[in-house]
Amino acid sequence: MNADEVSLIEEAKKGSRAAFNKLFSNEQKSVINLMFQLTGDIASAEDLTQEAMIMAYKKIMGFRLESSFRTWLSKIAINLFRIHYREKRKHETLCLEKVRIPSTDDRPERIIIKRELQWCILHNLQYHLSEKYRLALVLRDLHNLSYKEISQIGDWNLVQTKSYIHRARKKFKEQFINGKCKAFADDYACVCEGILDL
Amino acid sequence: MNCRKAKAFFSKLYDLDLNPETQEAVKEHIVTCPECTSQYKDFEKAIIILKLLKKVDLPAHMANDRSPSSEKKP
Repeated sequence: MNADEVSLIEEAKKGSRAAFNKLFSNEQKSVINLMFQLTGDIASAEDLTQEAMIMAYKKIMGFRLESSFRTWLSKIAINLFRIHYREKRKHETLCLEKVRIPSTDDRPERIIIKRELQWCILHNLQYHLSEKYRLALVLRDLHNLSYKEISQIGDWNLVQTKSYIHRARKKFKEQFINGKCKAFADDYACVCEGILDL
Repeated sequence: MNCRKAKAFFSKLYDLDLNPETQEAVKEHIVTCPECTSQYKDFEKAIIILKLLKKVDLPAHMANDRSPSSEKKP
């Protein structure tokens, strides 16, 4: 945590809304993406992000700076996600329309394959990984958090954290490579630069 | 090192979270075992594919109004 962030947190704890807004705006995009990756739904991601902001504002006095603001805020958002979604969704409820894919502004000829690949990624995250594996995978590979940060957010010890990341990656790989999504991935898998240049 | 042990280390190898001796042993096995070579490639490929998930932009109404006291949208 850098000195600026500590200073903003201290100001926010004293009641400065401007300081809180600054802290939140720095992390807002990260949180909404995290919620989208966990829920697969933009509207839910917006709602949860907004709820997390309100909750964080109410609880900022109790923030003890034992982690970064991003870790603390992410944990609040994930706890809200868990409350709202714990009992939700089984694979048989799936239909293509339920997974909303972000709009794309790429060249038209690549949009269809790209959208299918995006759908596959979301589908595998939402329907083929348990909640804890999904969380571990998203935090590690989409948010690039350290093992320590992930263990703080997930309330796991380091051994559990590493184990969940490993199992989640393995499960995601098996599902992706063995499932129908492989065909979409193969279109981009032959050239490393091609993979990243979707 | 055998295939089973090597596969158990795939994730730590990817994260460079192994001590140098183990890392060397795992790598040595992977490069000399066709099955593990193929499986580790798929493992890496799956993570690269995952990272292709498009990031969403902040909706305009959220970007413009960050006040915690603002009412939640219906």
